[in-house]
Amino acid sequence: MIESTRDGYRIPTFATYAPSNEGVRTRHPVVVVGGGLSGLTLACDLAARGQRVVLLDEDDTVGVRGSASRGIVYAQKSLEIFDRLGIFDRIASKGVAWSIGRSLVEDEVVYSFDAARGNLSCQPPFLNVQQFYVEWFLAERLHGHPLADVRWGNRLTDVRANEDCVTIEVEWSGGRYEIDADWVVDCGGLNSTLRNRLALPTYPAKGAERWLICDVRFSDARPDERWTWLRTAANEDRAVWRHPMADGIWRIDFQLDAGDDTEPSEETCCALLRRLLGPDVAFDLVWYGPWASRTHLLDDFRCGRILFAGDSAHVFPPFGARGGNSGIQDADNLGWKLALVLSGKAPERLIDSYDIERRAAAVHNTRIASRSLRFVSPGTAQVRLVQEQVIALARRYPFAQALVNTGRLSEASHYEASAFIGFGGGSSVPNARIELADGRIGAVVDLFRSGSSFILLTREHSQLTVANAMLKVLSIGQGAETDIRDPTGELIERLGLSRHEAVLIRPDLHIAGHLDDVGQGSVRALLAKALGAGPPNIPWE
Amino acid sequence: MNVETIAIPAPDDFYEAFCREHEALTPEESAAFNIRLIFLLANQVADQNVLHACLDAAGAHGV
Ligand SMILES: Cc1cc2nc3c(=O)[nH]c(=O)nc-3n(C[C@H](O)[C@H](O)[C@H](O)COP(=O)(O)OP(=O)(O)OC[C@H]3O[C@@H](n4cnc5c(N)ncnc54)[C@H](O)[C@@H]3O)c2cc1C
Repeated sequence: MIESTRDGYRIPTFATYAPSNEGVRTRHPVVVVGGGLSGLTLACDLAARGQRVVLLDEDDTVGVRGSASRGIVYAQKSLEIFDRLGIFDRIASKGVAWSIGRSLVEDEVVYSFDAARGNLSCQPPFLNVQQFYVEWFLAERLHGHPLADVRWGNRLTDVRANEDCVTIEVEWSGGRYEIDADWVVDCGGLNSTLRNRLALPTYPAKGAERWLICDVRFSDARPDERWTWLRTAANEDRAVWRHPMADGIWRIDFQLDAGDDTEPSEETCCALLRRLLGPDVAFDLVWYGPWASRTHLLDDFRCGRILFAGDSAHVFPPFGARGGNSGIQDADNLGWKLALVLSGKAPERLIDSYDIERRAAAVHNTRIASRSLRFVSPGTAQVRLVQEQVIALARRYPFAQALVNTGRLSEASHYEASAFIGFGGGSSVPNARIELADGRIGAVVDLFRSGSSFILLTREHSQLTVANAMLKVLSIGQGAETDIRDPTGELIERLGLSRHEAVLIRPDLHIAGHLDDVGQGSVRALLAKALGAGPPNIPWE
Repeated sequence: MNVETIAIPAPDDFYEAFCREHEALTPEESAAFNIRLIFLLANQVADQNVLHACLDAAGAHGV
């Protein structure tokens, strides 16, 4: 790896992978196409679970379009996934943790929140860092892994779905070759080649409003908080977003005049920044670029042996940092399923739950992000009037502040009850601090760092023994005799264990279901359901 | 949602007070006033089913 300097950042360049035996078509269990947030997270996840994986990326570095900061807000569930994958500490030492957001009109705060309230996780509610750093740390993690075959500078050019495998055609600077895979996961982003080759409809739409991102270095004594101005004279009564990032750089996002389609220049950016920051602040423009909000959504995230994750499958308006964070959760949802199906421990049917759960999550994210878009950029004069009057109320009366919507930030998905999720299950388990039997202090993810076992957490000491390689049974409580101690009892409460006897946790730390009567039979039935091995006559199908 | 019986106390008083507020307003100000009033009232109603039923009832299909 060579580090080179770009826009004042030091960024790695990876050596292009040269296939050793181009003429021979090799077969692989999983090929992940695209090394962005989704693909890198998935490849790391698979390797951590003991699954061999090939990752293709057309580029030889991280990030895109120079050093665009792109996805900068990493929400708690993503950070917990990164902790499980062993890169959270690196991200945390680079980035800026925060929990407080404020929305302003001119200099008046009309809404604020503190997401740290009620936080049980070892991870902060949010952490801001330029996307290419996260990709870099994931790539480094992957490079050190013997099960990961990372192929930089290798581009997918075509795909063929066969009966029992998928053939993909790859191009690199020295030629082209084909590989076969049991499963292919397309993480090729917004303009995915693979998805386009299959001509699957995505129903793309582009918003009318325009924004301009400026990544700017300047020093500021203000606290690390997310500030969003709905209106400020500094931007001709339009909106401005302001987020701290790593290396003393800020993301300043200017809402542009929707009617004006002139291409912004460096001078435009500097003039806007000068007005916003005042005459005395020295600043250095690191990167800039305009954007408009886009949406698209695939009908099905599974097409035979090909799966779609991240921006290839779904794109939302960018409000609430749902894009990158949902791609990371796609990867988290899919990794254990592929690993278990490939090792013969779960039926292929389990893969269907990926589409069920993650497409529903994408529909939810689209809805939530579209509401913020409506608030920030009202589409008609009447809707603008509603927004203005709600802001007027918020300035006078506290109740109306909750209506001010400059982005509802990404949260862990909740999966509805389904053929795979038992009643009351579906929510994500916070990465709370726990005390292990040997007295060590750890966190929930420590129980899930390798392999893909489920964990059944039972109240106090359970006599239950279930002979199943897929399951660990651990008791949780406050007494000295339990396997895991929850000194405050807050995790027990959050897990629903004050009302239920046991909770089954999946390898992605989502709850598969609760049990009130814990026995061999009930545990086996719930595990079978979560693995897609349950009885076929499920009522909702 | 109650659309059968009047529950507004002293309904003529309210009608008068409401119109008085509007008499001094331009159409634009009047629309703005109504939006503020509706959100204030919605916060008093505090019942999701009632609010959605009222939205439906006030819409073109309702009258
Ligand atoms: C300006 C901007 C601001 C944003 N801000 C935020 C934010 O604050 N928070 C947030 O969560 N999200 C944000 N997003 C969205 C976020 O960046 C995306 O959701 C995220 O990058 C999606 O990750 P991905 O891995 O699915 O796709 P991508 O990051 O697009 O990665 C796709 C990868 O596939 C590779 N690839 C493509 N085609 C091929 C091929 N044929 N063969 C091999 N490799 C290929 C590319 O090289 C690339 O590495 C922002 C996006 C933009 C553009």
